Amino acid sequence: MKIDEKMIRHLEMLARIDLTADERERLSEQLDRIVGYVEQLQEIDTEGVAPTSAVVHDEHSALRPDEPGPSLDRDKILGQAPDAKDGFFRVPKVVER
Amino acid sequence: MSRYEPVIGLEVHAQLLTRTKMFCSCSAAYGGEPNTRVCPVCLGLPGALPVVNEKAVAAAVKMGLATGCRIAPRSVFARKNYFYPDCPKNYQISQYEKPLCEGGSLVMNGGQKRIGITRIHLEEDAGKLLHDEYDDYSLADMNRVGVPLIEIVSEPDIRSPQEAAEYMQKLRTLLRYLEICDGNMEEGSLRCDVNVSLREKGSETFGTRTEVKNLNSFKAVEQALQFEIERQEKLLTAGKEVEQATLLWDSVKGVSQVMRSKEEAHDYRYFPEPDLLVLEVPESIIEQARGEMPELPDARAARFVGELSLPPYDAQVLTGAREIADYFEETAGALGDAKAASNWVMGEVLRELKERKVDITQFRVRPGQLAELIVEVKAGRINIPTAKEVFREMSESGGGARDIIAVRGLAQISDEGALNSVIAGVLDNNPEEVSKYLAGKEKLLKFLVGQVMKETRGKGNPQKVGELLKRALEERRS
Amino acid sequence: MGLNSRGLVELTVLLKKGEISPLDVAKDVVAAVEEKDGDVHAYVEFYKEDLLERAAALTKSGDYRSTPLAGLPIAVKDNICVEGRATTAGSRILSGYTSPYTATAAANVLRSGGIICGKTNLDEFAMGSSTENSAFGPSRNPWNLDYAPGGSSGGSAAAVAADMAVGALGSDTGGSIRQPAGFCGVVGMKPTYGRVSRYGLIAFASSLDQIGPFARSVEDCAVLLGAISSGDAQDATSLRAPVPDFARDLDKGLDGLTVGIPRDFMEMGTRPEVEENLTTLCARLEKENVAVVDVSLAHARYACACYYVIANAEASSNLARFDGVRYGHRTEHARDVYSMYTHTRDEGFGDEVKRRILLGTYVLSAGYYDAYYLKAQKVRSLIIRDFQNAFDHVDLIMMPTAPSAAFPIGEKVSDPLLMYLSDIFTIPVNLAGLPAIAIPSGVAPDGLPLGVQLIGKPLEENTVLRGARGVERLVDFERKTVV
Repeated sequence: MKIDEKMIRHLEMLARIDLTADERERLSEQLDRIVGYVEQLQEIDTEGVAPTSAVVHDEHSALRPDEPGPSLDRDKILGQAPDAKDGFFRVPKVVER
Repeated sequence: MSRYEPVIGLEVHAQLLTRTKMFCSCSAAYGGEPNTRVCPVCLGLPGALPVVNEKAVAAAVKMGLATGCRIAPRSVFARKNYFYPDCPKNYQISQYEKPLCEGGSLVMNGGQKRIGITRIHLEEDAGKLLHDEYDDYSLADMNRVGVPLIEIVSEPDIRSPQEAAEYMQKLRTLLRYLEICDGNMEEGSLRCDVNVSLREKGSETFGTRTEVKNLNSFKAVEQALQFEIERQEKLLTAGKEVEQATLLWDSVKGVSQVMRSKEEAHDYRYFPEPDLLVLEVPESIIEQARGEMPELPDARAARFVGELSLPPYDAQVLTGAREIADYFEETAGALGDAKAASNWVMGEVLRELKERKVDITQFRVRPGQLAELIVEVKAGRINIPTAKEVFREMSESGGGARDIIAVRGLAQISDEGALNSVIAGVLDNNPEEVSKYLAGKEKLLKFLVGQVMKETRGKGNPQKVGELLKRALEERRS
Repeated sequence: MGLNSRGLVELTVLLKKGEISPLDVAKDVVAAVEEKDGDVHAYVEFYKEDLLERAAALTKSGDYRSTPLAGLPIAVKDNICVEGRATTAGSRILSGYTSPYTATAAANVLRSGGIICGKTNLDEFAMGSSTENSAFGPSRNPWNLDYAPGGSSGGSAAAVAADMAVGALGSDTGGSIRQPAGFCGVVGMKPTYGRVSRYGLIAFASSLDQIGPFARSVEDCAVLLGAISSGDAQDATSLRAPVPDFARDLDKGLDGLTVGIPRDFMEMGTRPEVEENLTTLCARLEKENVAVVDVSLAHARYACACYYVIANAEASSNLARFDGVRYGHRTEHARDVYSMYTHTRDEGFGDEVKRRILLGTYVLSAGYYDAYYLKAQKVRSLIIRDFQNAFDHVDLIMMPTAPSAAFPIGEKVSDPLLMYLSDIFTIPVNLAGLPAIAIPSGVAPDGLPLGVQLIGKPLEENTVLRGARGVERLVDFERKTVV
């Protein structure tokens, strides 16, 4: 699969990164090479092999008791928000795309 | 008659009644000052990690058992990736390929209809966004972020909007019986998305389906489905195609609007949540859930019919909520007369609850007190209208029936001597009516009974009064 | 020689005897940082005043004598959160962010009596192998300032190598502790996955990330590892198994150990001086009655490809939270929330981070998941199986830390793929979640240190440390930094 301009624009949309034209050209070429490298995985016969998503070395399903703990101080949290108003985080208008 | 039949499936989200959130120890209660129930985990601060709430797992297991699902010994949390300002991590932790519960069902219409339940899985709620109409900004409150949810996904077994609403109602009853969700649709504790398609009657294949979101009442479920079915039918009848899409229901305008088309469909890039290991539900949780499982509504209704000889209608109404059924059973037990208890609970009790907008668990007249009142009626010490009056006072003051009857002197006069003297007086004062009665106008008996009741200020035992009056009138015939 | 260049254990002994005070050590560390860090740039932020104040307070109270870290200055990689401190992960996108809580591993340092003396430089979000991808500029190798210290924990490695901290914490996702330890001639360890809590470590790839210690000797490394390890109710992937005494087996010697060398795997682009160094070491080990045998890690050659799929898939999701809504950088060019996201993230992330997010997004996206992500997870299973089979026959697996010694700054930064391959020997260990240590094993002809890596079975850090201590005694190695 070639990482062409259409694909990279699609990935930008999914990842919410707006590349500049320069960046897009540079990154799509690099990504294409990396994907080409990663392609070697297809050589391996993985018939009947279960996927591993986590390496667990002890058998314990860690659940948390339903006991309340402290919450953070709102002023402290909103104090470092890029924009806040009346106790809320403020963001530019949400427009469905 | 339409040539099409609708094929409907529901995705119901229910907030679980845990003290803390799904993955952190912030309060999961409704409301609160904005952004005061947040911590590094639910705010998605750098470095914070989720840990699963044991009680949420137990609650989901209960719902799974109650709907006959298989409880997966190993289920997997997955990340659903999408950007939205009410979702701090910009992914929701949910379950995807391996949900906690699978393959159950819900039976409706007294066993006539079975709706398959594909799966029940655990996930976290999102925050709330306020869109300011006058401003180019939106405001985000993260208190609700991370509140535990179960998503209950039905098979496409539903065939009408009414059936969908009924299914939803049934789920709500069940969730409340299990005490795992308060079912408050106004506060969003219970929410619903529907999938609907049409196909020609008799066809086995499915048509193109659309999804309608944001259905927050039973009425909305019914109306939105009706609207969507009609819209699809118009398209199909005109020879056009239904396009796969997600729509948003506007309950104020009573219309749905396309939110996104198939081309705009999200690519959620689900993958196993690497911050959480496989969820292995401890046997102890399943055993405890089994132990705590209450008698479920259908079984209870069947028992009310079978053991207590209630009419099926009564049984269904009474088992509509666990607390009502509990109240009824306690009353019936104390009284030893199920039908009388049922009449009172379905009548006066439900009316009083509705008027006072009070929950039955907070209702001042407790089952023992209600039974005491009914005993007084059955023993003939008070009549029905008086009993209703006493009941109202009981619900106001919380007092006992006998005390109120005694204090207010409401006991029926059944004493023949006392009644006979009142009757004699009434007959003496109404000679015209007496002679007309004796001349054959027997309808006037009712008037004379009324006069006696008036004289006794309603305390006369009506049956007794009737008997004695007739006898006294006959005596005057000679 | 200042106290700052002494070993951690040596210093605790002197402190407990009362021969020196925490303030004496702190002053020497401050002097070293002031003298050298302008050249090395190991620190993003050095807490000079705080260090001196705390050390003075401890000196006055004497409370340090009963704690394992006895008031010693420990540096922390700047992707580990410390309450009230700027935590940047080397990224512009976290500019202005102060963490309101402390990572468990950092809290454990404090609880063990250590003083966190500063935050060290790193590749942005730990993505890199040279510390050149930092928004704050590169760190430099104390052995040769034109060379990279390795990465991504290059700042921690350089700080310890240049005696600007007694010990340091780093994080290792694909070699980010071991490779810079090798490049800077210090000891660095990645424990078994789950041994040290990840709570408060800014996630790169959750199933691979692990915090670990840097020190100037194996013994010091063992003590620091003991101080930071703990099962943690706030990290569901942390180990519940009890934390052993990591110093327990240090001096049991090499006698009787079997060490496996994965020769089939090491043929891949290893420089001659690296190979020669390992051959010499093997010969010495055999003289010590160590059985040195060949083992096969047949799928390890695919580890790098496997890793770049899995790590970046996880990263693409982990880094989604940096969106300009709640903290950090927000663009000034937002028309609506969508453009706020896209511009904030374009401005806030560097090239390498963008590359990885886009790659990770690609391998998870509809139509490619099975071919890349799922395939890589299966290959991961095969890599793990190879290790399990090898460990049926050997106690430890040994190989070079990297295919070469440190490389010059700028040499690989424009060729991401070439950069990735410098982690080829360290990556398989993360995929299998195993404990591994990097220790100095010699000096290359160009005067830069060489390192060797010892890998153990899950939970067997003690065997790894025992082997490392034995090797440490066998090799002639002297730190020769230019600063």
